[in-house]
Amino acid sequence: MQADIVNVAQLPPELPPVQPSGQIRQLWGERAQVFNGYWVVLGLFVVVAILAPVLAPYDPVRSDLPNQLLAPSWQHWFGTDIYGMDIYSRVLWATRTDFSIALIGVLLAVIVGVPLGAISGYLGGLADDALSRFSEMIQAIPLFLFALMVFAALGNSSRVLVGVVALVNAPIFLKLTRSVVLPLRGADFIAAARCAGLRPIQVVIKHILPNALAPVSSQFSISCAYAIQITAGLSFLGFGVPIPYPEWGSMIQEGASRIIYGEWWTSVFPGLAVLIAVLGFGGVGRQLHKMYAS
Amino acid sequence: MNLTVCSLIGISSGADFSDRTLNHVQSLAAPAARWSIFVARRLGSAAVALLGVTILVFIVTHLLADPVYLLIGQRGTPAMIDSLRHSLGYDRPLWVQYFSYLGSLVHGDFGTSRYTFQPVAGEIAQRFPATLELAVAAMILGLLWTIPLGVFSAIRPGGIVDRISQGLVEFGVAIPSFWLGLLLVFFLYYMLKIAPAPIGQLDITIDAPPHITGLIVIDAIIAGNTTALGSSLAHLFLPALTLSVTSCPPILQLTRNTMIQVLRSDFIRAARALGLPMRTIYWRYALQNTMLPVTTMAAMTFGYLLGGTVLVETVFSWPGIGLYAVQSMQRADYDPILGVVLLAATIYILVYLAADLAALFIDPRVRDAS
Amino acid sequence: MLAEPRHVEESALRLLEIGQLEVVAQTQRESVKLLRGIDLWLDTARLGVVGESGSGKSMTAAAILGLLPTGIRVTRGSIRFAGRELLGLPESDLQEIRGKQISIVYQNAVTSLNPLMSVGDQIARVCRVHTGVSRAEAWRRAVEMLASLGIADAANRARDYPHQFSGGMAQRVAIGAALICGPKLLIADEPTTGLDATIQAQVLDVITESVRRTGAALLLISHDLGVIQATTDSVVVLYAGLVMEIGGTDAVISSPLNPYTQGLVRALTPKDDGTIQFIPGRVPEPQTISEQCPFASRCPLVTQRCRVEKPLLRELRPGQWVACHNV
Repeated sequence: MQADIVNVAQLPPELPPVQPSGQIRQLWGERAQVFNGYWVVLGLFVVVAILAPVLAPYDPVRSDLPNQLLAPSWQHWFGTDIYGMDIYSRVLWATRTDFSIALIGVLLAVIVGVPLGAISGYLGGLADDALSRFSEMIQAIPLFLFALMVFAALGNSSRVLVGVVALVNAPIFLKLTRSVVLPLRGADFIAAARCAGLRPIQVVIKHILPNALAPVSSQFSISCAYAIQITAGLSFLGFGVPIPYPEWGSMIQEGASRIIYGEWWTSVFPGLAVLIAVLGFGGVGRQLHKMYAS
Repeated sequence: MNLTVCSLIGISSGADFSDRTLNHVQSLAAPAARWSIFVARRLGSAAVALLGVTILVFIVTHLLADPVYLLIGQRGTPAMIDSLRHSLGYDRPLWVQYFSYLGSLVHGDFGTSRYTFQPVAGEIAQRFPATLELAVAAMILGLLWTIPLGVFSAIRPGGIVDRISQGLVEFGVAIPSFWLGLLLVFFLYYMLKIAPAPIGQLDITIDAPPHITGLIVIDAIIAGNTTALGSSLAHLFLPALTLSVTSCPPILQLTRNTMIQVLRSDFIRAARALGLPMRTIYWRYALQNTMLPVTTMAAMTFGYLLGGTVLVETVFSWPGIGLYAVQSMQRADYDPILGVVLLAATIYILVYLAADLAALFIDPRVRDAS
Repeated sequence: MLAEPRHVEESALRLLEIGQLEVVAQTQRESVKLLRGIDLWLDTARLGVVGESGSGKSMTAAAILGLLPTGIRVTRGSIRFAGRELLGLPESDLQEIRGKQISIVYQNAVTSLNPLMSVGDQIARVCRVHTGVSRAEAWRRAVEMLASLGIADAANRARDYPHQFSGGMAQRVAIGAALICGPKLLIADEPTTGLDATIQAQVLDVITESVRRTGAALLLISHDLGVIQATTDSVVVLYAGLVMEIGGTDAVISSPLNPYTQGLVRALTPKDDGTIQFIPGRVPEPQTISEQCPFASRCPLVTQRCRVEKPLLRELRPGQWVACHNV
């Protein structure tokens, strides 16, 4: 029997992929409900990170020993630390450090995790199993111990810190993307696209991945919150950002020994910054999640 | 883990509890053979995960940082390095090295500390009870505040208790544990003077009771030593509180959300319609049905806690495996951290497995399927 | 199967009397009437309430027990039980009535039981809550009840869990929990829907037999007129929150007066060729019906008056009350 030539016009129409621009338009329409205080907080942090050199009254790394451990006052809003450095300026400058490490780290995690998740979900079988096992393995090791181990292997530097942030978050994005791709694998419009001659990779990129955009963006924000905690925690332990560099975690560590003498400002302000930044990212992430879940 | 778990759990699906349990029942009322296959499969994947962790650790030691350099540093001549490499077996093919590594792990050889020259396994064993004590205390405290709050939040969603709980969850998950510890020390030790100094498990002036379990609280009780008991409990309180605030919020969320679903189900409606008092309905009928997923989550939190005490132990100078790992790292002594990683990962995987399997047993619907 | 219709011996006091009951669902934006002023009363031992889904049958049962979901409340009317007004009673009083004076069994028995408690425990607990007897005595009574409901090996079965019972058996358990304290009224809300035909008949038998034995009155709610016909002495026909007809079951089914009832009865018996004569159209959304006869959109006898004026119940024949402008 002669093979029938498929009349393309008779195929069911390809369902248009979810258009990112359509979603953005929808978001704009709902902007009053969507953009709440968390966004404002994050926005403020971003502004501070960018304008730190302008906003900070003092040089963040210039030691001024005669003025060490001054309580908060009009000259030093957040007081000074054990080296006499102005804490307010350091907190502002540290916003750059923490935010850039977090953002770059999570971005790397996305770049690694999302494609791997797509492959895992689309191909299934052995590749899927192997990748899932691998990411489970990474997640089975408690976070800070895992990070310490990586530092042991690769040395103590902020580059490694970024790497740790990326490594820890990549499995999350892998699983997330996989969970989006997997159910779509057998969908009709995918079959139609394949019949129309698209190669698998085109199918994945053009038709499947746009559906992952919303959950990935929500997870991005949540992972950034996570990343800031990781960064601050590891720097507190002395791993990641070297000492004179302003970083919230290491600032808390410097002040830790002074707490029992009542000199609270050295640790409290940088910790507040971490808390508020994490709350901001978390809130934005949850907001994004609520938006795409409805 | 906190934030992602929290965010993923807080958003639970709206599937009706009755339907879910009905499906659950139907899918689990399977013959014994299918059930034991399930158990075997879970055991298998746990074993694979464990092996995977050992491979990962092995890779870390042997590929990414030449272990010979770790031992000699940069001072050795090429000849010294080569001969050392040969005598330590580092010139054998990698997979051979891996299997001998695995062999030594099985024999309890976790390497040697470069600082104390003692076997790492022994040092870990010596310090593990302190971490265990801390984790257990954190768990008890955590359950004490999360479960009642979760129940009361579910009874009146949107009410004042619920809003406070949601706030607590949000803060608990976001606040850095080491910072919270420091704040608590500042307020309760420095300002209010009701907590002891953060210098470990006991006052310096008090001797530890004779070592039986290694858990000072238990040992003090066994020895009848009330001074030691009091001191150890006082020292335990702040770090345990810190840990519980930062790691138990997901339990509150899960309790609340599960309970809300349970309260919507058919059998609760029927129980109310038969005149059972709300007290019984909340605390006997509903809570019992909520506990299934909650205990699983609690077990997993406990497993996570055992490996997640690094920061809090550092702040409170608590002599557990977390502090051990950090101090060793600061001394460029690497075997300990690897040993602790292996132990913590093993515990987590085993606890996860146990929780999964136990969840099967607790449910009478499954017990009878065998 | 039908015993002599037995009038409830409560002097002139009817066991249950509902007058002009209005129930409204209140959201922030709008309020929707779910029950538009229904009247019904228990004159015989077994009353059926028949209607399509959305007619308000289950709402009525919930209103009687004071268990309307949040956002839904009674706005007008009265519910008198043995002469006592139920509306407005405090929750504590209602808790004493539920399970002890008025009980209910629901449609899906397996999910209406606590999956983590043995069935004996659940029945015993209801007994203890209302009577305060000892655990041992309550357990004994529970086993006795299960046996009387036809559950073999009751002493051991009482220790089993709900999932170990089939649908029909589980419904017996639910009936046991409902009747353990000897209530005066048992409400059965679609007790056999979803069960096999043979099991349906069995469960209906169990219900009629057990209410006869315990002396309770029965209020049976069903969308299936066949079930009503087999089990009840009188029937209330509900449509979209309004009572269309009330009367003796036999009388109403043999000669229905309200056009809706006539449609229901016609649908009861298939035509010679096997097709069923459905009533054309669909039940309207509650928001779309204002002060009018709710059946107007589907009624063969509809006039302009039907679209603007709510019909009231009139006793067209002795013992048969009809709400319609055109009969």
